[in-house]
Amino acid sequence: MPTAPKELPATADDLRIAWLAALAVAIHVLEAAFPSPLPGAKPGLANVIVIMTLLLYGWRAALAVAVLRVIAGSLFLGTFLSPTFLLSLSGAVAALLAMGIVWTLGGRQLTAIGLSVVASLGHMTGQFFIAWALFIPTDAIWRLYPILMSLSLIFGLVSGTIAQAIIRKLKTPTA
Amino acid sequence: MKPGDWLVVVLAALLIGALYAHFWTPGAPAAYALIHAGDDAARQVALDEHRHLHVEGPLGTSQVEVRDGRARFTASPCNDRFCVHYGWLDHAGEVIACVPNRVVVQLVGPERDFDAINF
Repeated sequence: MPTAPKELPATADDLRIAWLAALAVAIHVLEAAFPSPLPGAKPGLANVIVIMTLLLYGWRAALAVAVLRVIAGSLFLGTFLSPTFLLSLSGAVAALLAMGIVWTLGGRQLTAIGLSVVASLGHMTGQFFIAWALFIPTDAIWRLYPILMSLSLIFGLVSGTIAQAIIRKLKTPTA
Repeated sequence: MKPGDWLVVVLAALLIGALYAHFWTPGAPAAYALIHAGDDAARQVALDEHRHLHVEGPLGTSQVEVRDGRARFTASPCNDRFCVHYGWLDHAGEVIACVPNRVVVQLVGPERDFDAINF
């Protein structure tokens, strides 16, 4: 007689991270369905979830959500271990590093908006550097970098504003 | 928004401005032009004296004007004359070509500056 599968214990934290990561994956996949007017530029709204996680549940939860988002998102889109995946992962890691540095330097002075701008610029920089180092080793592509960084600033402000609004809603006690 | 957010946005804007300044500054002024015609070795032409050059290609004669550190095609026996419409070149690394007539004008600076390198 087969033995019943043993259930892994899941803590409340694990479940929360799974829910948040699932939300981020859903946003990531939906966003991938829309064609981008400029290659390399996407609003990156999934980062709204990562920033909310950082502000509400801390640094380790945000890291878990970001990495899960990249891996599970790429499995859904069929890009796992492809160049797209590498770019996505390097962007996410660079964004987290940038946010981590700014967070330790002066996290109390910032809202989701500042963090989101830092993450967005970090994401673009990490991704661009990997794209240049591994895939398009042409110095000419650096002329695109300022344009993409301008877009990053705008998209960072947008997703930061969304994250800030959601956090404010979550912190207001419901009547 | 807290003061820290404003600081981040201002610093980001300054960074992006510096990036535009750094990556979008045109190359150094050109020192001389290399004119390639067909398979012949390139001819080196100084840009400081005013000259009209006649360059022979498979379709006929292309004319290149050179003066004041600049160069342009003034006439070419091709159909579309993209080379002529492009106008003046004045920075090192710039290239115009009349592809049908196989004439290429390339500007070179004191140090060689490439518009792209690939490998």
